[in-house]
Amino acid sequence: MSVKTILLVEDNSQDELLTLRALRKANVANRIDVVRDGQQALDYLFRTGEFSVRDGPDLPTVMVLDIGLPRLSGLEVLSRLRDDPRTAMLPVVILTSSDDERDRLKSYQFGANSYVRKPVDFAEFAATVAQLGLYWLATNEPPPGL
Amino acid sequence: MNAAARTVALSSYLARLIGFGVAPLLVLAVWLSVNAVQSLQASRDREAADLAHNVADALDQTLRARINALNMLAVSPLIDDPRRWPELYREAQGFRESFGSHVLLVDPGMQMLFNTRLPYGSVLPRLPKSRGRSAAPLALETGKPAVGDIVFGPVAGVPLVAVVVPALRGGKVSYLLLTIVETALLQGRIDAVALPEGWALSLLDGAGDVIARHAPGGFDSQRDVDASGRHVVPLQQSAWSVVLEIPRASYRAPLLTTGMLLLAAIAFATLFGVLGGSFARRRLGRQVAALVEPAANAAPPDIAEIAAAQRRLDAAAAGQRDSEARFQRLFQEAPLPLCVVDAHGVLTDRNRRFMRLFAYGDAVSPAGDELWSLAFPDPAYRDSMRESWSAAVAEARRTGGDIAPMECEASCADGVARSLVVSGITLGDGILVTFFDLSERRRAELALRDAQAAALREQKLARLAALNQMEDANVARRDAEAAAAEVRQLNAELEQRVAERTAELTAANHELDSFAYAVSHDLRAPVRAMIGFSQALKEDFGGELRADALVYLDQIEIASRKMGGLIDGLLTLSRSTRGELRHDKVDLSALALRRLAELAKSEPQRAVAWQVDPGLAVRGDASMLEAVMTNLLDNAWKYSDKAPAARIRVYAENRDGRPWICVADNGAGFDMAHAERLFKPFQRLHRQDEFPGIGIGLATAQRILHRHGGEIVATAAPCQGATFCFSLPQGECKGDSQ
Repeated sequence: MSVKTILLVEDNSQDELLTLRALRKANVANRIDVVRDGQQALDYLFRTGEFSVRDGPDLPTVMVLDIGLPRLSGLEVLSRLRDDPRTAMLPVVILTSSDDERDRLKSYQFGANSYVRKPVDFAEFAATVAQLGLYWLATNEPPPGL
Repeated sequence: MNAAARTVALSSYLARLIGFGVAPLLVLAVWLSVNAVQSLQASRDREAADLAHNVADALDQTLRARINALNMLAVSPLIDDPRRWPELYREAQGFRESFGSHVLLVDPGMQMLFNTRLPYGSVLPRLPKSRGRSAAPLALETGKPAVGDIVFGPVAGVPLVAVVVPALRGGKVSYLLLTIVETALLQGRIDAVALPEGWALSLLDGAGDVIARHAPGGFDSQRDVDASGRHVVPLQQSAWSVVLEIPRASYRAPLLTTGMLLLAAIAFATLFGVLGGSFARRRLGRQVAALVEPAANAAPPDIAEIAAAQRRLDAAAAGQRDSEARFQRLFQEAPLPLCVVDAHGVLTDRNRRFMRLFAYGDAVSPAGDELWSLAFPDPAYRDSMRESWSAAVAEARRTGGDIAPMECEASCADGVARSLVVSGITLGDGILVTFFDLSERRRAELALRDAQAAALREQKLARLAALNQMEDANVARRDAEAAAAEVRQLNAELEQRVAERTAELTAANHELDSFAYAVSHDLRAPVRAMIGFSQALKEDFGGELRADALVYLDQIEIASRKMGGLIDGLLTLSRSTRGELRHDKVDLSALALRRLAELAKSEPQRAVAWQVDPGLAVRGDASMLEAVMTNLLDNAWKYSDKAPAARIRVYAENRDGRPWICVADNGAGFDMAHAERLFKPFQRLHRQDEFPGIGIGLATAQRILHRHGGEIVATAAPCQGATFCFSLPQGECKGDSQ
């Protein structure tokens, strides 16, 4: 049985910290890898660049992706993933503070599996992140072959 | 010979026509009658001849039958042996039984050998010699069967005729077989023939003696019958003949009757034809005569063609009368003096104008010479005029043209001497004379010249005026053109400026939008971090912190939350002016009810009474207008929090001829002095602790309504509630007005 991992793509260290805290509080003990920009995210997934040699499974169980990222934006990362057969079906959850309609539309057009807005309220934020982690790790069945 | 001499009166023409019609018919009828009588006669002759032939044939057959039967006996071998004669006698008895006639056997010496009338072996006499042609000698002589003339039978004692057949042996007559027929039998046959009344049928023997006769009483052949009434047919088996006789009286009677009847019919038909013809002739004659010379009280014609002709004639007459009347009116009302003069210079007709010129004191104008002397009192002038006139008339007659116009000075009935032009045309023997009053024309010419001069003067003046006006108009046009050019220039510049400004504005808007978006987006994260870490600190290390440290943490959180609210408001405001403006039909009543229900659910402890008028509908962007209604209702809900009996009303009303949608509450209200600040972003008229809020809702509502081309106004007083009314552009707004 493969190990279930989460890939968190988040450039804001405070949000990263809060997200990780929320997941831990929700008793998510799975491995959580964090990258901080779009390019890193792609390198991680395709084992290229600085991630050409890394441990852990080929692909995470779910990727939590912010939109406003340095170097490559979240939407660009998403579009590249979907163009590659290896990652075309990888579950991707957009977690962003943007509630802009255009972002939401684009995300779904590029094949996001879920779009979650980071609540401004911290308690809500924590609850949302916890729910999200539990759902994708425990409840959701991944596509076959992943 | 002219045409008139050849005409003939209609009645005599018709009489001839009837005559020509009847005469051939009469001839034909007579011919047919004669023919009929002849054919009747022929048919009767044929009938008589046929009858006679039939009777003769029947008698011939009777005789032939007997001859044949006797022949059977004659060829019998019994004859040749006198010992067997009794057998022959018995056979002869058989013959008698068949034919009712006795049979005799006679030897060539005329001695009877037996007679079936008497028993065999009786003593018999010799045959008596007949007065006329006797059958037995004839048969003896010719060796052929023979029939004799009438004889008085010596045995029978009655008139008889004999039929004899020779028995030939070796070409010679050895015996004769003889049978006798009583005339009574033949008489019976003749009597049985049905004869027309008066006819007679006789059977004569070779000597012309009557064997049998069927005739009316008192009939005498010599006296009563002509040769044409007698038909004789000889018999083949004997010298007898059948004679059919039609007495003269009987022969002629049907011919006479038929002839008389036919003649009567012809006479009657002729009479009828002539009478009918005469009647038709009279009727036709009368109607044609009426056509030629209409009588006042004549009945209208009832023959269609004549009626049509009558109508045409009437129409023609009416047309002629009409045309005559028209001509008379034309002549009388002609605007020229006219008169008609006959060949002798006598005035036969004149019109009114003529009378006006020449009726000197009288109602009647003078005629002929008198007119000349009155019109031309000077004898010398008169004579010269007459001479010229006669010459002109003669010339016109010669050439067939008009009479050349002639100018003269005539003293007229009103005592004025006028210059007249006299002319005319020849009308058959007469002349139509016209007069033209030159003096009037001259006056008219003078008047015309004056009028023309006046008109010319006026025209000149008018032209001058028009020229002036044109000059003015030209100047005005030049000015106007210059002004128009200037306006065009200004317009172009204005358009250019507007375009530039619009572009600038659009760019600025875009910039502002992306700025607001970026700001709000980027501002969220730190706010959340501040709140998050404050809470995390409290949760994870709350027990280790002092009470005032926890208060500070709370303050960080409160400030952060406010910051978050401000960012949200800013985002809403910036979004309200972004995107396409849609034109939906929006049911504001439904929106309001929905929002109020949501509010009531979120704060169930509050008792707010609301009234929303039904059918409030407008046209605009549905989601934007929903934001407007939500803001207004949320405000009404919020600010009526402290009212003892909170009440919210949504309704439409007409103001300045426009429908307005209003949301009214009986809450805190505000001072109208600060009303202009209401719609500015982040401006509030209440303290946060009184009514929380960030002051972005009304600003958003106003921006949305302005984008629609509408407006929003507020009326309020402190503690007396507030009413916000908005209107959208006319024609797109369907709010019910009350």
